Amino acid sequence: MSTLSPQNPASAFLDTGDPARLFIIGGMLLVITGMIFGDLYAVFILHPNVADIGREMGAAVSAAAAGNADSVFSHFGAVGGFLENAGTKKDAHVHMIHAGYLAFLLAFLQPKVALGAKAKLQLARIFLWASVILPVSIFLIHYVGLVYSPLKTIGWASIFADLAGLVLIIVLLAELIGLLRHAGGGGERGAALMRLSGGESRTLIIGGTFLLLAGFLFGAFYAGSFMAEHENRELLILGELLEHASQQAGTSVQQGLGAYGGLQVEKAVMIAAHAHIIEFGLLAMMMAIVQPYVYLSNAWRVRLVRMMLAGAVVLPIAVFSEMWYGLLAGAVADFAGLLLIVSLFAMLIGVIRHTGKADAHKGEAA
Amino acid sequence: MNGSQKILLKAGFVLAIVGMSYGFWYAVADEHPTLERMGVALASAFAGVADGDMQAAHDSLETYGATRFEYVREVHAHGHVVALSTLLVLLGLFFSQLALRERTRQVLAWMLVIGSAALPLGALLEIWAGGALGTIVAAVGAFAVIAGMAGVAFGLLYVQPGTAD
Repeated sequence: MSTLSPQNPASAFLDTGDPARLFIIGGMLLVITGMIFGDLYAVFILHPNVADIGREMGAAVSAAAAGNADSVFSHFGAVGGFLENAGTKKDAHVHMIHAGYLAFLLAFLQPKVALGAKAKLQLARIFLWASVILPVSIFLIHYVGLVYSPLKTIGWASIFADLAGLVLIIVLLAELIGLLRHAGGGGERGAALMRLSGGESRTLIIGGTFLLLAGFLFGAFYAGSFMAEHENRELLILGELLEHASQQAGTSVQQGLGAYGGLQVEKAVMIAAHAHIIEFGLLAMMMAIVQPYVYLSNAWRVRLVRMMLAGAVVLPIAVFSEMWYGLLAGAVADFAGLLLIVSLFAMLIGVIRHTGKADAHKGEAA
Repeated sequence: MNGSQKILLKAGFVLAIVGMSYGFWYAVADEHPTLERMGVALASAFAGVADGDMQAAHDSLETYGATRFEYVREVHAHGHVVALSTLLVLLGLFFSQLALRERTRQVLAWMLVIGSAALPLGALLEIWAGGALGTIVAAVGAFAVIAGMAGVAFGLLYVQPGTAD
């Protein structure tokens, strides 16, 4: 079992710190919810949406070839709608997970934030509310649109998303002030920031670091070798499509549309592989820190760590393989995402059990 | 908390606030007009074909390319600065436990901080300054972050679990 002795300094802050508990449990819930949403997005929205965009794009090019400019604008309007639908869902997924990461880090910084107990608790609550409102508002942008909006280009959902983002910035500023006050001599002294403890922590921290390094190297490789080439190729394909459409060369138009779709997939999977491997590297490193507070048997903690690392390695590789293996690779990626979600959820249960056990100890002592 | 941790935590917080503020400004003031401009330019290119005006079609396509170039870098800058600042704060939590001398840890911390600032700045410089300057700044930033993380990985391989903060 993980150590719960009051003498163990590693368990000190989560035993008594309400803001830390709120941040850590709220942060893990945000990450889990964001990951589940990401899996649902990948399965139900992403692939059908790509087909819809391809269809509308083809119709727009056909309309151009037929000399119907109004129809061109109408079809590109539909393409914009599909892109907004997918983009806002991807942004909701990313923002929810990142807010969760920040909440998680703030949990471990609470002993070093020199602010009053009530203020720290209020900040934690405000941060978590804003972290929920931000992605939910982003999700609603596509559906709310400009209904009753006082502005020409930004709807109410965007306004709420922006305000939630502003609140997160203000809370971070307040936490930074608390950190600086602590560095200047304020607050409690002698509290350990955190410590890596046990084999599971070590496995996760090293695994996470190497995932991050792999993600950074892949990103550098992508930026150096593919980014400019993709941008140039996109303009080249579109330029050829314009010419083929003007010449009403049906076969060439279809080939051009196929090349354009292929390029979009190529770009998307490369960027997604890079982003996911880094996200999971960060997640693994964060879960390394939380291991001393996961109150589960050692055997289960080892299983969960292996499950998390397996998912973290397989998912980006499967996403990258979608270029060649399509939906089969997509299914593997979804399963790897499920492994991550299950392992993270089980660790959250371990953390909640830890807080319950700590409360019971306090009750007995009183 | 020692010197290297202070560098990472303070810089991480500042970069996170800068990155989120940039994202806030971008979402409020720039994203919607940019997306609108991009969509209209691409649609206008094909509308130009429909109207038989190929010069207008190619001009619109050029506008689309330039706007997309700008949009991609603006989104990348926001995403990268927030992700890298998260990494800095995360590393700041346990940096004292790396099996390296404090002086070496401070050098690594500065490399990571400078790289985390330079990478997104380079992406924005590619829009603002054009030419190779932005690419060079981004590449230097990427190298600093990768080299810094390689140093962290080396230090982590020799971490003694349970070492005091």
